[in-house]
Amino acid sequence: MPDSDDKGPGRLTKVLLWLGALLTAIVTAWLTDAFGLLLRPADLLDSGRPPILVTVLHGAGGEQGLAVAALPTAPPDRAAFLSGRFGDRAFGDVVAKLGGARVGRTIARVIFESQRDLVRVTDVRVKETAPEQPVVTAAFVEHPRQGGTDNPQLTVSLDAPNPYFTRVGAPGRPFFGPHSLPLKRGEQTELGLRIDARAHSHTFVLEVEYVEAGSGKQRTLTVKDPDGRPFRVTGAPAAATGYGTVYRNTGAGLRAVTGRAACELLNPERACTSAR
Amino acid sequence: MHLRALIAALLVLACAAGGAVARQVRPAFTAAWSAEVGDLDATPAFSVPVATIGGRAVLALPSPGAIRLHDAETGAVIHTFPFTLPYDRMGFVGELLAVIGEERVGEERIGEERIGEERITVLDPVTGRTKWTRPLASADAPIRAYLSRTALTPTGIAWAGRDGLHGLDPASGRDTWTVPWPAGCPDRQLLESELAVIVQHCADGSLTLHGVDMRAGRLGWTRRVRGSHENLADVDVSATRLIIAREPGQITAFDPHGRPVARSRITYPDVGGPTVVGDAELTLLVRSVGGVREMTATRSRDGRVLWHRSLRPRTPPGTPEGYAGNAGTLTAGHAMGATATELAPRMIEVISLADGTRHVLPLPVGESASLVVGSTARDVLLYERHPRGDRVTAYTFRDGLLPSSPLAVPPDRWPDACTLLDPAALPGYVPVPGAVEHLGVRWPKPDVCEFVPPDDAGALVRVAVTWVAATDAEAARLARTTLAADKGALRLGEGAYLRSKVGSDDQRTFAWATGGRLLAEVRAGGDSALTRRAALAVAARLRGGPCSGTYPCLHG
Repeated sequence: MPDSDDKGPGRLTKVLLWLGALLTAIVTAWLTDAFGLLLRPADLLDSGRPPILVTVLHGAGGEQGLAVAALPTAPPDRAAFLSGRFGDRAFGDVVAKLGGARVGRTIARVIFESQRDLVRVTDVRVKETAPEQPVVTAAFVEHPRQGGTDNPQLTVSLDAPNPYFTRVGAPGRPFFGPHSLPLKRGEQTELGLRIDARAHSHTFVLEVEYVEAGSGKQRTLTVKDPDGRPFRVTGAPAAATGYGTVYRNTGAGLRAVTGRAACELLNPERACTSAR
Repeated sequence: MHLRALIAALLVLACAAGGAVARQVRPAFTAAWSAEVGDLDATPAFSVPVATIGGRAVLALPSPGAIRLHDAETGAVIHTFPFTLPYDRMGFVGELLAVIGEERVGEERIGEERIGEERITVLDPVTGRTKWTRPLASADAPIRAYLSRTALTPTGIAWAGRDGLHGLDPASGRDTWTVPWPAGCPDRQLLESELAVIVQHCADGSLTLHGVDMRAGRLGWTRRVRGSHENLADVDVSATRLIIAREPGQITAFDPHGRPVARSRITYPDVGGPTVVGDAELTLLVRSVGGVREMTATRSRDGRVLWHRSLRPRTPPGTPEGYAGNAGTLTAGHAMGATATELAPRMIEVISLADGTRHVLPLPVGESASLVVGSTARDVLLYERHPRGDRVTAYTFRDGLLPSSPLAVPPDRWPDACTLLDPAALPGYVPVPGAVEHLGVRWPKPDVCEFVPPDDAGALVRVAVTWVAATDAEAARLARTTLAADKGALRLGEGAYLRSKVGSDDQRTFAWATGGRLLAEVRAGGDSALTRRAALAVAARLRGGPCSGTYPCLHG
């Protein structure tokens, strides 16, 4: 009877060893970023991107103040709120918690970038995500003064029954429909949007409709504010005294002001001789 | 087979152990030397020229009434050249040092710029003597106002005249050639790379670049940079003399021969850069991509990507260029960038060019009073404002095994900012601890504390520990530097100062306090009197105020 020659590892063991070695090589390559060595910068930037990239920025300056529907009570919230740092995440979180909204108007700078040969933005519209509410009046917070200016190209009034974006200075006719925004690959287009409200407070997102050339498919994406929350804008009370508290933004923190100082802060272009 | 498995296991264990050791390696900076440069009042445009002459690395610094040539390694003064003109700038041309001074202010006529007449002086670092000096009739040159009208490059000197660009013989100072101004867009700028570059700014927002062959005295190459009325094209020269052209959404780096060496898209929001530094081995590209600073290292000869990293912070670096004064980045093997944080000293990003490994290190230099002004093969050079004469200090970057934090005083030995202000000084206020991390360095105790008033009648008071120095001398130096940076500061009392900065309400509500090797910022929004009171209370506490179980002693 012949002896068995098969003293080494079995076939299954060999397969498992090969698989193990392959897995180890892949994991090692991943850990050492070896794949990156095979790619050039353009590859690194373009891989796995959606057809269109949208970045939202706050206005560069000339921003409106904020109104909040309640005042903070917990010390950490009060600390974040009274810091008055508009760009700070903690301040934004507290303001959102207090039902904060920009007063009168909000400016959004939306930057579109195509990741395909040609993408055409066919519409940008406001979509309210909650029913409109009365104007926000618990407190007014001054926006920190900045030197920049905004020159939005399109504007919309949320007081209109059927709001749509028009060119600034050319009210009446909708911009989208007759026009669209063609975006070539890698090309960036910045769209300055001004959203006005006088009678109520509004919570909304922007819906961007676009078509990818070639496939002809129409797609929609939703744009929120730079912090990933819906935009909020509110009208102002009829009189400056309509606010419970008025805060000046000193740059070192918020400070409550009353009387003439509050009047001047809310009506910088009007003479304030009394507490109005 | 068992033996093989054993060897493999040992290799894995060795690699793991090596990796653990590697993770403990933390670089650090030490001051190599420091030189006084007088009341220089340097701007970010100031840079220290560095060269190798006769095999010795040297650099030149201005000093009161003189230009000094220093040994780059020791800081020792090799030669002192008397120089009494108001100093403008200087640069090495071959092995000679050329210095530009502004001789006198030109005739002032209504509606015209006051432009001084430039005088160039060429110094010989070998003999220690002035080689020649002459005025330059560049006041009427058709160059953009306030921009340089002279190009000091390693390959020659050129100055802008009314009729064109004139080349000088560095050895004799005689004019040797004239290149007429290129026709077309008449708005011009002069840049210094390895050669002079004439930049024409056109009305449509685009640029035309002309490289000037400094030896032959003719235009060598021409490149067009696209722009638009909304997005003007821009051009600059990086620390390693690459020419960086910025078009809408894209940057291109050209070498001094006009050949493109790197090209990349930039996407909004813009958070710093772009810049490109490089040498024969490596090209390093920093640009903003979708709100993140991205750094890519490529092999210079074939453009192959070696590594790629995202950088923090997302916010723009504090220095105007992002990567200012990086001449030594590649020679030193690291890239530097300074960034402003809550901390008074600069946190310097150190990125290994070998693999992109990034460290954040503090350099104990005073906030806006300091600038990165250059680097040598070994050191990064920092300019600091001081009350008794500004200084340039060379800091050496060292790799080493440090068991704990890269900070001279580890974060766990920094005090809780909420303990720096006696609650009795602010009746009814509630302390709220704040930020505990900066640029990846974690503080176990809050280094910021906000004292919340009981109602709207009071102002929010913020106290932030901005530095804990390792020695009394370093603390004193930082305090002096901070004070020197703010000539309008008001001394409130022992160790407490009110900054000249005012808030939007025109009140001075920013203060700082020092004592016991600590520096702290104090402010009370909209209440100058409270700011003063709080700053004095913090200073008293830092200088040995009462301590208890809940209010620990700050000194020994």
